[in-house]
Parts: sequence; structure tokens; C-alpha cells
Amino acid sequence: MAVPSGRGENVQKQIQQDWVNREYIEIITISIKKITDFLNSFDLSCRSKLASLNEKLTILERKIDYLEACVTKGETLT
Amino acid sequence: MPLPKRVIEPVHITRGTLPEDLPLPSELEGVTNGTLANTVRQLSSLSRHAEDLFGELARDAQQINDRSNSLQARIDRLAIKVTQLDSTVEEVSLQDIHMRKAFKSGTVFDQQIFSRATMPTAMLETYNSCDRPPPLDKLNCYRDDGKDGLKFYTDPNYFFELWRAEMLNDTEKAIHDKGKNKGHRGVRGTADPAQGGRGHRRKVRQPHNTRERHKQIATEHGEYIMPQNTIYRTPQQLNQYHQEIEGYGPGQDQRPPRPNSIEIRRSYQREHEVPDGINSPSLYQNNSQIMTNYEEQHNIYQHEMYGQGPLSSESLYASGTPTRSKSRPSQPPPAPPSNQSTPSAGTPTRARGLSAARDQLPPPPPPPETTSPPPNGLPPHMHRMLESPLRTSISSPETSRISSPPNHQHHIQDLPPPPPIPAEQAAILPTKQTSPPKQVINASPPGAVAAPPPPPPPPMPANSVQAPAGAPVMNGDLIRALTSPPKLNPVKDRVLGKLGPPLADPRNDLLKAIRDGIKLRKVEKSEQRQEVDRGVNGLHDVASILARRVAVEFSDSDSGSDSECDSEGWGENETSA
Repeated sequence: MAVPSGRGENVQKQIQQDWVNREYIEIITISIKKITDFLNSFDLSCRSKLASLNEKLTILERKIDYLEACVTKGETLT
Repeated sequence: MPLPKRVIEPVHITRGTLPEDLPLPSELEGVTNGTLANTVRQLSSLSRHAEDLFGELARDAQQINDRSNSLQARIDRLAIKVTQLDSTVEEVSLQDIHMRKAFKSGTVFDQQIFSRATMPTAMLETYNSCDRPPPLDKLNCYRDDGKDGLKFYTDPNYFFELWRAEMLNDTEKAIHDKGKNKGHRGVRGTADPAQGGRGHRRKVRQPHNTRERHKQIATEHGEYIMPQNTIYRTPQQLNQYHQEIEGYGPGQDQRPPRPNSIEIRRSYQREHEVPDGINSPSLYQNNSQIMTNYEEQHNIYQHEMYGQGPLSSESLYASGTPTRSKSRPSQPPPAPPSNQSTPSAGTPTRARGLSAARDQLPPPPPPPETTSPPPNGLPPHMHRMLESPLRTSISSPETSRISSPPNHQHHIQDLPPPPPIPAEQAAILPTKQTSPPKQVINASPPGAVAAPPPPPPPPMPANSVQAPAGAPVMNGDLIRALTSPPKLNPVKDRVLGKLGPPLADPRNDLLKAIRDGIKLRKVEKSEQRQEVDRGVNGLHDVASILARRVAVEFSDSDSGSDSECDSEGWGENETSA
């Protein structure tokens, strides 16, 4: 009786330890997920901001093109 | 099937972590350890992806930073240039007009943005993990029809080829249709076949509007004063002008506004006569000069307005117009006599700019022109030499020096190479071209006029060639002038040995063409042709195909809108001059 009870305690202990380990792993995995989510959102927001900047730059470049063409007398043209 | 860009691996961290071959004392611990190990693998994969992600972001940000820096530099340069602009001092000279090129955007559009080359690396890895297509191209040597066997399995260029074929077909069709339309227009065109169609359209469309409007305005405001310097730039202004002409008429009938218009035009002439009317024959000449100016801007409108009525021969003004319009392309407009004394009195035409420039010049030394050995080579060069003192006397020498290089390149690009010039001549050219600005800066204008010396005999060695270039420098700088050209010579010799002939020939043509009064539109056409040729040759380029298509489709309207563009350009020149 003592052996099974001791075995059952051992198994219970192992299972409890396993649950603890699983909880630990769960925390790590959730953290990894959080990092991934953050990276994704960061990437997304950065890209959108860079894209808007890019758009503005393109517009500005075209305007400068136009102004240069207006101002130039031909000497800067190649 | 959408593919995720970045996959963190391993996905299932706990599966397969229990080794089957060797027994473990504690299986649960084994699974836990394996899971932890996989978690660490996930973390490492995550960090790799994060590095990739930040790398891409940093690259994009750097790119934008570079672009904004260059843009800032351009803005600064533009600001400096704008502050240097002075409409009162600046004279739009003949050369500046010729050196103006059509605007060509340097913007490079992104092409093939969905190709393998522009694919992000993470995605590319995913693609690389895919199965390769079966090596069907190894069987190509057994095919009789010469086709690529792999393309029956997969062909990434299929849709591009499809699109390309469609575009090229459309372009061909457009060219064909345009040819037909041109033929039609040539049948019904008036004097200018390119502008005839438009002129006809305007003729039909415009008067209805203007007459209706002028009725209203004439009833509302009875007295309208003709503005002195009416620049007929836009159709709106034309309408205004039309209204003003007919606004004087007491009877608002649509038929008989002719006699009234004569009076108004006489007042118009007198108004122009007063400011620079010094001698009496200048009345008609002034008139004709204004008329030519006006005609150059608005051939169409002039036909529409003055060549319309049957009574047009009554008026002095209208009687001049038909002959003027016919004779204009063949002979230059007469130089106004009062023009030299008051250069800012009227609006400059092309011919006036030339004539004024020529009259202000001291008489050119005749012997160099006659003794210049090659028929095409030196006379234009002499012209430039003669005109450079004038331009430097008007504007600063920097502008003349700056503005000359694009001229060379311009001609090099656009014109066919003239007959070759012997190497000695090519050696003469650079020394002269480099020397004039220096002489103008240092020496007085007579010294600059004496700058074109007679060319030395060809068989002279290079050292003797230098002598005449440095000789006319009078007020010092002789040493520098003598020492600097040999330094420049090896480089410029090589460059101008090639550049010399093309820059010599077109100048000759240009001056001749200007004297003859022919519109200088050939250059743009050749550019356009080049563009089209490039489109034909570079068929694997999206931009060239599109450019060709656009060029074909808009060349029709471009030739039609030449007059408007011209008029606007002239208008700007007038205001600036």
C-alpha cells in the first residue's frame, strides 16, 4: 500500500512538475507571440509611415522638377 | 495561395520531442526539455526575422533620407537660382532660346515591382523552398521547333509578353490611324498643314461664343479701351480682344463689324506709333512688325479674325496680313529702325533679337570667314565668336560660358555628324572655344572682337596652334593664357575632336534657318523619332513601350497644340524681355 501510494505521489509530483513546466513554456511562448505581434505592428506602422513619406517625397520631387524646368535656361540640362 | 512572408519555425514545439529509440527515465521531463529547446529555436528564428525586418526598414529609411537630402540640395540650388533671376536685366537672347530644350523628366519610374529581384528576402526564401519545376529545358535539344520546353510547363514572362504584344499592336494601329488622319488634314488644311485642322475647328467653334458674349458685354459696358500691349496668349484673352474690337460697334449686327474694327485698329496702330514712332515710315513697319509678332504667336487666331471677312482688303491692317502670312516663312521680318535706340519699346521677335544683335556688333573681320578651309567647320564658330562679346556685354560672362556646353551636347545628340574635319582643325577649335570668355573678361570689347584670328595653316604643330589663341589677350594674363591651354589640350582635343564637327555644322544651319525665318522644330521631331526608335529597339522595357505609346498617341495633339505652346513661350519671353 505504501508503494502504490508512494508511486502515486511520485506520479502526482511528476505531473505537477510537468504542469509547472508547461506553464513556464506557455509564458515563454506567449512572450514570443507578443514579440511577434509587436514586430508585425511595428513593421506595419513603419512601412505605412515610410510609404507616406515616400509619397510626399515623390510629389515634392515632381514639383521641384517642374520648378527647375521653369527656372532653367538650358544650362543645367545635359 | 497566399504565402506568409515570415514564418517562425518550428511551429509545433512539443511534437516529436520524445525520442523513440532510447528509453528515458522521465518522459515528461524529456518532453519539457524538447519543448524548451524548440522554444529557443523559435526565439532564434524570431530574432533572425526581426533582424531582417529592421534591416529592410533601415534600408528604406536610408533611401528616403538620401532622397530627401538630394531634394533639399535641389531646393537650395533652386532658391539660389530664383534669387538670381532678374527679369529686368535678363535678355532672352537667340541662343538661349535655342538652348532651351524640351522638358525631360529625370524621374525613373519603378519597373517590374513584382519580380524576383524586388522580392523581399524573406519571401524569396519561401519561394526558394518551393519545389523546382521539372528540368524540361534539358529536353530542348530534342525539340524540332526550337521552343523552350520549360515554357510549356511554366512561363513567368507569359503575361508580360501578352501585354507587350497588345501594346505594340495598339501602337501600330495608332500610327496607322494617325497617318490616315494626317492625310485628311492635309486635304482640308490651309497654309500650315499641321495647324490647319485646329484652325478649322477653332474657326467653327469660337465665333459663336465670342459674339454672344460680346453682345452682352457691349450692351453693359459701352466704352472699352483697347489695351496697348495686348498679348494674345489664351483663347480667353482672344475673346476679350474680340469683344473689345466689336464692342465699339454701334450696331450689334454680326455681319458688318468690319469698318468699326478698322478704326479701332488704327487707334491701335497709333498707340504703338507714339512710343517709338520716330520716323514716319516706321508706321507700317511697326505695324508689320507687330503683325509678325502677333502672327508668330497666333497664326490661327489671326486667320480666324482678320482673314475672315470679305471686306478685309479695305483696311490697311488686313491688307497686309495675307501677304505677310505668305511671305513670312521665306523671308525674315523687316528689322524695325527705331528698335535699336529703344530696345525695350516693343515686344521682341526672333528676328529682332537677331537683327538687333547683328546691328550692335562691330563689323566682323571678313578674312577669317573667307579663308576658313572647311565649308562647314569654321563659319559657325566665327559667328559664335562674334556673338559672344555681345552676349557678355549684355549678360554676365558666366552665363555665356555656362550656357555653351549644353549647346554642344544638344547638337551632338540631335544632329547627324557632318563631314569629318581634319585633326588640325579639331585642335584649333578647342583653343578658341576656351579662350573667348577669358578674353572678354580681361580685355576690352574691341579686344574681344579681335578675338577670332585667322586660323593657322593646318600642318602646323600643336604648339603653334596655341599661339593665336593666346595672342589677342592684351591686358595681362598672357602667361596664364599661354600655359593653361596646353594643359587643357590633351583632354579637350580628344573630346572636341569628336565634338567639334557636330557643333560646328548645326550652328551654321541654325543661323541660316533663323535668317530664313523657318521655325526650328526639327530638333524636337528628331528627338521624338529617337524616342520612338528606342521604343522599337528596347521592347523589353515597360517604360519604353509606354513612352512609345504615349509619344504616338500624343504626338498628334502635340503638333496641334504647338501654336499654343509657342504663344505661351513667346508671352513669357516678352514679359521677361
